[in-house]
Amino acid sequence: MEKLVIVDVYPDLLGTYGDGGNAEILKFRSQLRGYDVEIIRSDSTEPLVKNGDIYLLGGGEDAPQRLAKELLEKSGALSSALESGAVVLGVCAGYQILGESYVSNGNIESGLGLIEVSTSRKSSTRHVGEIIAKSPVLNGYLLTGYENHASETYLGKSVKPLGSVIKGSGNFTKYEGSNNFSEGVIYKTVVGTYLHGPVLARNPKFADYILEMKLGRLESIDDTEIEALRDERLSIVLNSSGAQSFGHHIGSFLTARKV
Amino acid sequence: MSLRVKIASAAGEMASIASRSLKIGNGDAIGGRTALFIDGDILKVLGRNVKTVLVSGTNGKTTTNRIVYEVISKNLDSKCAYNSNGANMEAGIAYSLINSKNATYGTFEVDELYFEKIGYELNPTAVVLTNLSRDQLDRSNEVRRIAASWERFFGRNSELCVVANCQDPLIVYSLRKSKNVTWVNPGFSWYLDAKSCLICNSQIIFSNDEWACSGCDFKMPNAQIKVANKVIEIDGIKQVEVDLQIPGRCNVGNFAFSLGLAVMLGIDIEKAKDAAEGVSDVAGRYEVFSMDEVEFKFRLLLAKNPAGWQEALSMVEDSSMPVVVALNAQVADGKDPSWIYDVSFEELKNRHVICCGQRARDMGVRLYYAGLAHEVVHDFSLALKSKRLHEEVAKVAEKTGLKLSDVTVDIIANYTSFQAFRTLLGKSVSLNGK
Repeated sequence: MEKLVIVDVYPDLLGTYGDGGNAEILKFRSQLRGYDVEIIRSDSTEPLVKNGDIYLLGGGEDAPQRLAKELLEKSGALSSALESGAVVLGVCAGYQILGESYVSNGNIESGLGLIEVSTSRKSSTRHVGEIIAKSPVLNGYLLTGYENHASETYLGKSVKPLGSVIKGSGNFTKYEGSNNFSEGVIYKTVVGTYLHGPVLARNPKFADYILEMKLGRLESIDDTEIEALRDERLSIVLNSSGAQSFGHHIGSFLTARKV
Repeated sequence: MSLRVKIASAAGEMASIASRSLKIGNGDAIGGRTALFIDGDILKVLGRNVKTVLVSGTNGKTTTNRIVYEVISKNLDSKCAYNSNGANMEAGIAYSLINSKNATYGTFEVDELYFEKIGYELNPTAVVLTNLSRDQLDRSNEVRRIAASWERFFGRNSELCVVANCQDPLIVYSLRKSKNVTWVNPGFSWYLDAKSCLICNSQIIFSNDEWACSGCDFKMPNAQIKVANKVIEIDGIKQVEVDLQIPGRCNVGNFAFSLGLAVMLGIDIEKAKDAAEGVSDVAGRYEVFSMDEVEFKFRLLLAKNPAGWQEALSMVEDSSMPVVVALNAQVADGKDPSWIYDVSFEELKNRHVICCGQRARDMGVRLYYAGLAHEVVHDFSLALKSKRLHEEVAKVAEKTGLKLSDVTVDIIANYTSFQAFRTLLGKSVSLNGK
C-alpha cells in the first residue's frame, strides 16, 4: 500500500463527543509500523473524498446527525468507497446512521441502509456512563469506553455484534438468546459501536483490528502506557457493583482516593 | 419579609457558618439549600427587591460576572449581591441574596442548564450571554438542549434587556424573539457546535468572522460592540483601549460584554473600564503562587472543556518551559473526558508535561498519541514536586538566562482539579497584586 488514507467524516457535524481522536490513533499506530498515512478531515461544507481506505464517523447531536445522513446520502461517496473495500467505523450517532433507521428529535428517520441494523427509541432512558463489553471477534478482549445515547439498536440476521455487554447498555437489545445486551456491530468491513473514550484510545487491540482489515497482520508495539490506562478503567468499572448510578458513585470514590 | 423567609434565611446562615467552621466547604451552597428547604420560593421573594443581572454561558461566566460586579458596585453607589464563589445554581444564588441584605443590585452567574428555571424565578433586569459549547455532555447530553431551553425563556420574556454574543448561532437562535439585545462580537473562535442551522437544519457557513445559514435567512446580527485585539469598538465610532491585568483574548471579550451592560445601565465607559482593569484574579483563575521550598512560581489557569482549553493554551507562553495539566472527571467536570481529543495539545510540543488528577492516565495516553514528552503523577502535590519537572525548569532557565525566581510554571486544570490546586496552593502565598 502506497499510502493509507483515513477520512474523518464531517467532524463539524459528527465530532461532538471527542471521537475525532480515533483518526489520530490509527495514524499513530500505522506510522509506528512504517506506513505512510494521511488524515483527511472532511468538513460537511466540502465534497466527501471517494478514495479513502478507512472512514470514521463519530457521535453528534440529533440535528447535525440528520444533516450528516442527508449529505452522505446525497454524496454517495461513502457507499461507493465501501464497495471498493473501504473500512467504515461508526461511533454512536455515526453508527446509527449506517443502519436502516435511527431516531432524530423523537422521529424515526431512514438511515443509509449500509448494514442490517435498526435503531429506535422505545424507552425514555438515556444510556450514560462507563461501558465494558467482551468482544468475541477480538478473542474475548474487553472493550472499555463511555456511552451517551438515547436509543436502542436491533441487529439483523446478516450482522454480528461487536461485543457482549458486561457493564452498561450498548445496543440495549439482546442477540440470539444471549442474556447480555449486545454492543455494536460488525458486517464485513463495517464496524459500529456506542463507545466513546475515544474507543480506539482505550482499546489498542481494537484499533489494530481496524487497521489490519486494510493492512494485514501487524507486528505488536509497546502499549505499556495504554495498558495502564485500561487496567485502571477496567478495575474501577468492574469493581463497581450493582445499578449504574451506584456503580458511578463507587467508581468516583475509588478514583478520588487515588488522587 | 414574611416570617417564613426570615426563618429560612436565618437557618441558611447558620448552616453556612457551620459548614465553614467545620471546613466542609465555603458554605454558600449548603446555606442556600437549607433556606430553600424551608422556603422553596425564597429566591423569588428575595429577588423581588433587587435589580438582578444574570450571566450565563459555557465559558467566562465567573470572570464576566466578577467584572460586572466591579462595574456596578464601583459606579452605581449601591450594594450589589453576587455569587463570588461560583456557586451558580439556585442554592448558591439564594445564599448570596440572604447574605447581602439591603442590596439594591445583584449580579449572578447562572449554570446554563439551570438558567431557564432561575430566570423565571428572579425575573432579571438584564442578562449577559457569553457562549455555548460542548461541556459535561454526560449531564447536558446535547448543547442544543440548552439553547432550546434558553429560547423558551426568552420567547416568554422578549422585552428583556440582553447583552449577547452575536458570533454564536446557538445564542442568536435562543434570542430570536428578543427585542432588546445589545450584540457583542467578542472575538471568540469556537463554533464547532453550531454547524447546522437551528431553524432549518441546513449548513451554516462561517467565513471572515461572519456566519450565515445556507438554507434560510438566519445569519449573524450586526454587532454594536466589537473586539479587535485589545481595542473595543462601540457603535463603530468610539474606541476603548483595554489594559486588563487578567490575561487572554477571551477576557477582553468578557470585558466587552460587561461594557455592553454598563452602557445599558447608563454607566460611564471610562469608569467601567477602570473598574475592570482593577481585577487581577478571579476566584483563583490566573493567580500566581509561590510554594515552600520551590524557587519558581506557579500560575493557575482554568480550562473545563475544548473551547476553554483552546483559550488557556493561547495564554501559555511560547517557550519550552514545562507545563502541568490536571484532569478530573467528577460530576462537576463531566464524567467522560473523551473531549481531551478535541484539544490541540500538540501546541505544547517541545516541553515536558506533567499529567495529574483522577484521569491523569487518560491525559497521558492523549499526550502519548500527540507525541509529547510527559509523565503521569496522579497526586497534585507530588506532581508539583516531580523531580523531572524541577530538572526541566532548571534546564530551560539556564538556557534562557532566567533566574529561577523569575520563572512561572503554568498549571492548566479542569474544574474540580482547579479547586484542588487552589486549596493546595492557597496554603502557600498568593503573589497577585504584589
